[in-house]
Amino acid sequence: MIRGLYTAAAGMVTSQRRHDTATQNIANMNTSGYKQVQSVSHSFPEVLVHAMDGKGQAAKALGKMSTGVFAEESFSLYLQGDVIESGKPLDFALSTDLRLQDPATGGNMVFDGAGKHVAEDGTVTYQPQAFFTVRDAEGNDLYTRNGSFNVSADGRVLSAAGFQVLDAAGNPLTLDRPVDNIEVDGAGNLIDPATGQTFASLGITYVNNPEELIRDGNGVFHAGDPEAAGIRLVGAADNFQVRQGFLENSNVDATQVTVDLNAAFRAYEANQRVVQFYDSTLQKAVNEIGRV
Amino acid sequence: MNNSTIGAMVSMSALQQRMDLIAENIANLNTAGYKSKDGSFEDALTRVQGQSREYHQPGRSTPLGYNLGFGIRVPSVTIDWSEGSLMETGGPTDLALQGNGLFGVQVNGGTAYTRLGAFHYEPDPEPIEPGGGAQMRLVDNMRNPVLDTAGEIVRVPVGTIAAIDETGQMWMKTSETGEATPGQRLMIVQPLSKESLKAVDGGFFVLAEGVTEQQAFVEPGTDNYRQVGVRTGWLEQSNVDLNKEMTDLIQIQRTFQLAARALSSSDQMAGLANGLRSG
Repeated sequence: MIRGLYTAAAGMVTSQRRHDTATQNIANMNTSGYKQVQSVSHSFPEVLVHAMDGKGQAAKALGKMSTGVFAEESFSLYLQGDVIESGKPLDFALSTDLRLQDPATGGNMVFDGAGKHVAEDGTVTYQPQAFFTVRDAEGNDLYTRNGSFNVSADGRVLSAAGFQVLDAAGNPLTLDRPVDNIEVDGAGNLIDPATGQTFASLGITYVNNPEELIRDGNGVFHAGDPEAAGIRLVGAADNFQVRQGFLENSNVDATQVTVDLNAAFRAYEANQRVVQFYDSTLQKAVNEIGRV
Repeated sequence: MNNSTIGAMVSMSALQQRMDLIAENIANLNTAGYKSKDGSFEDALTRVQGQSREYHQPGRSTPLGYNLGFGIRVPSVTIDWSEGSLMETGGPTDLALQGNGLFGVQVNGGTAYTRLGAFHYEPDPEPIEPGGGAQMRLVDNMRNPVLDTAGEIVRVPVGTIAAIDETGQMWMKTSETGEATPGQRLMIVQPLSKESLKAVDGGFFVLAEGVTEQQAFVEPGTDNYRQVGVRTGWLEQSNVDLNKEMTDLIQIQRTFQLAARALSSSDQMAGLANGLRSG
């Protein structure tokens, strides 16, 4: 009986986590390059329950039950956000539709609305994504979809949060000319409009499995295991486009997150009620059973 | 306080900051030479809650750890340097700049830079040198003297007809029919990076701390220098786009509303937790 009390308490904690996630998504409805987070819950491992009859016989198996739920993972939804015009020369939006070959058909893999492909044998593949590459003060490479950059007084190109933007060679990108004298083409090459010559390129990273990335805040992600994430520079064959003077909006769906918020709240409430019912049952056990 | 409460609270203060910027822009809709300000959001610090190896269940697609966010912040306020529309005034000392340039003006003894070229002449308060005639000096609408390329105050002798050409060069004649002689040339600087300038009140910009003029401005005549045109008789208006500001305001306000909703929802959850032992 007490088992259920802990199950309901676990339900409350999990609903709280889901509520936190919904709040975070709501907060970031206007954050450029933000990718919606989804909280995935998982039931506790199932346990085999035995009957105890107290007559010294072998315990009889009653069946399996799971004793609770926990927020297992926070999953990022890397769908393309809306691309909106900002008009600033150092604002960039990445629009990508990177393709993978499906070994079963030989054609391109078809991804569903959440960027997922499930093969017939159940193998899940996520759509690859491209990111701008930035570096923090400690020299770690980070990835971001927020292309709102600016130039420091000494010519270094920095992200809005102050990370150093990298070029295609992996070096810090610096500018020796005013930003008005720069044009950026679809592949991220910085061109001098007077001469038509490319003098630098934005470092854009291809991530084969973006779900391997770990969210750091400040709009950036890092790869805990670069090998598993499949990180490399984008190539000419990759289907991506850089748009100068545009920014990628947050991909948060306001309706969806409001529903998530309310659902998490009500689930919390329902679990709270269950705890209360257990409490009143216990109260009966303590105060009424055995009363003469 | 739980995570939702903190996240919603942090976000609401950031959204409030952004709304303040919109209010400032709208207030300066008709301020000549004003450059609109913009602030972008970043998700604030994310904490990854550690998970032990047992959490690596079959079907899991992300690395171990559970993300917790703490709302948003406005990391930096940027200035939109796009040119405002030009309005004809007909005044011979109303100057509008076309291209990446700024006038140099002497403010409180130091040099400040501005896009606003609403200048006029006033009697020069400096004592007249022996043998020299009375002089007028060119000042802006807050009576700060306008500087020339050498950093000197622009002066013209009383009784001359002065005009400024499209390069900022001043020409003077003593009579309608007389020959024009070149005077001083107005200081027009071309910033290399806009981050080397810091906005101060009065629509002025000054060099950010630790930045020298050599670092901040493009040397005229070099490859990176782009010609800046001076249009006499025109003034550059504010570049605030009211449509954009209002659209932003709607978005921010709705987000604020939702964040407030999340806050009250997490408050009710705290109430439920408090009421666990009331039944």
